[in-house]
Amino acid sequence: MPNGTVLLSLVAIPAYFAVCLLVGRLLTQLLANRPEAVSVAGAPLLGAATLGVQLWLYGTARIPWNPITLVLPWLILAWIRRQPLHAALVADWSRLRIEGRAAQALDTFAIVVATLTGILMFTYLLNLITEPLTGFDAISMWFFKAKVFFLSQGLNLSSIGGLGTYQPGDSGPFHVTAGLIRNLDYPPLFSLMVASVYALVGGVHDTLGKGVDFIFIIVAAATVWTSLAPILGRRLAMIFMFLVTAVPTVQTALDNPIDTGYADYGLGVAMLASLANLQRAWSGGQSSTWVLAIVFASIAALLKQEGLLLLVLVMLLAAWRARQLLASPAVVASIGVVSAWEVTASMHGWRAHHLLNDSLASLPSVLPTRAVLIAAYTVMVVIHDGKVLWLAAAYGVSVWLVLRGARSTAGIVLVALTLQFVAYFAVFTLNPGEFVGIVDRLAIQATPGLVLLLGLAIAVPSARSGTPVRSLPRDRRQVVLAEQVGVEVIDRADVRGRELE
Amino acid sequence: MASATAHANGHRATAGHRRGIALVFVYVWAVYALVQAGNLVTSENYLQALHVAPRAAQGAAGDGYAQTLIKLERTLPAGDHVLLVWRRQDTQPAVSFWYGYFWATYWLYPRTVDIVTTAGAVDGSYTTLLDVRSTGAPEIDVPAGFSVNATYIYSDQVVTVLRRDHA
Repeated sequence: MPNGTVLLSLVAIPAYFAVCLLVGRLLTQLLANRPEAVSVAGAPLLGAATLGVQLWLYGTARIPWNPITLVLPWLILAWIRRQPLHAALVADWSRLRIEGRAAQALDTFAIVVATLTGILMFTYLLNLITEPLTGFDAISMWFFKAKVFFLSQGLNLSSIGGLGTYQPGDSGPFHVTAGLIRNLDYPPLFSLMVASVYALVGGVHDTLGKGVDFIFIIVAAATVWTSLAPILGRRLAMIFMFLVTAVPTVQTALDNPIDTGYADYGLGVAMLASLANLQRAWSGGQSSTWVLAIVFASIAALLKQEGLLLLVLVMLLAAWRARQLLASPAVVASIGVVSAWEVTASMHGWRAHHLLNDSLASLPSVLPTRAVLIAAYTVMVVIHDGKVLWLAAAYGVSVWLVLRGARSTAGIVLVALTLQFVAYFAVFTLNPGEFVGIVDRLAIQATPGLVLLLGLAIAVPSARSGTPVRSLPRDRRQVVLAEQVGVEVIDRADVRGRELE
Repeated sequence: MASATAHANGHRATAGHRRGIALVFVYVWAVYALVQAGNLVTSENYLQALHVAPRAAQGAAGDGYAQTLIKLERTLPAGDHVLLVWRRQDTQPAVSFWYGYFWATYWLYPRTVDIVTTAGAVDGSYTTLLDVRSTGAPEIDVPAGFSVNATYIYSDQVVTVLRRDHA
């Protein structure tokens, strides 16, 4: 007989997913009446992040953290917006049914890949909720903060720095404060998301808290599918969806107990969601894709500081191409939350890691040697570590395709990822810190974006950018031809959804 | 005109050639990932995962010190003030020290935990002493007002729990 706690956990995490999906779908529906599929794909992540930020606000306002206070506002909003929400969910369901029917036409290889993707997702879920919590950073930092947040019902980091390291009067042999090692300056969203699981189940359940990663893997798969299926066809998109769930770096992040409970994979998926929306926005998608590119980049910045660069880049691009959207409530709220965190961290003096540890005068002599060493070490890791080698090869192939191709849809994603890598290199050149131990985590962060990049690079540019329609997959040709002559393609279920709106 | 058409055809052929090479890469990567994922799925013991309570799995994870903390998490009063006496001799003393500190502060939270590396005079505010020593190291001198509550002996270390009398 299976263990009762395991069975309950197998229900609890999908239930948490359903709550996040509801919240995220309500928000995307507020942004756009008929958001693009790639935007809907990120809805659970948007919902999960919103619940985390909601807890932060509750802590500030001294509102208790429990399932009722957390979910009730959303149930009320769902009731107020029941008609458009129902229409949206019906439309989503019809999209899923269409995809399900189309999947029956896939060949054996694609069916094997699809089946294995499903089994892998279940395996990840089972491992997340049954394997013990053992990761060093998970225990010292991410889950410790979640526990402190939940038990103190607030974003109470001040108390962590003050927790005693040594008995009063004893200096001890190791002169580093626990506050510094716990990286109090790291953004709080991942820990808040874990705390939201605790709030929903009414207590600290360490292994259940790791279930938040299940949101990330589903969003990664859905985002890659919705981005690539229309331009690559279902068979190839299925293979990319498999890659984004199965490559060894993802297995490390979701299946290896000593590596689970970290924010890196979540950061990678938030960046993926942002890049996918950015790519759509750049290719002339709905205005809501610009807004969601910024919102997901903000989520990335609230998960780990590495996400800040993407946020700045997306903001700059939006300022260039869609300036009027920068004043939209969603953008203002997202930037407001990120800014609130940066101000809070600065006010409390939590800037533990400084970008520059050397004196300015010594930089000219130090930097060149350090840059060469880091570059050489990176090359060595790429050569020796099979996991990283595949990712590096995917990046290389993508660069080759984008640079040699004309009007590729992948260009903007390539620029964003390349700037991200350059920033990593620059930061470690200025402050090597723990570079040697961190390469694996950077690879995990980059994986979802690299899979998307390769898929976009392989895609034949869409009809809108001038490529012959016959180059597109058969199931996409009809839609593109119809768009060219100004006829909107809708299916019967969508019509039903619109009637309800 | 004919030259331009030939040029365009040539360009398309080259682009198709590049895409073909990239597709080969994607399929090879997919097969590699398929093998890796297949290994993961086939080596997974689903029945065991379904049958073992997560708390039991957590209680059996890690070394003796980590396992003792799970026991103490369930038994020590929430308001306890704990002094961890970390006397383990490991090859990386700093890493070991921080491991001792972080694991104790995590699993024993909301109890406050301080740490020392030598047993000396104990501040009057502590209600629990947790002595962690390598096997073979001398036993702790029980401070006045404390008595041994439990001793957990593992192959590489000994964890002794001392409680303040009448705490």
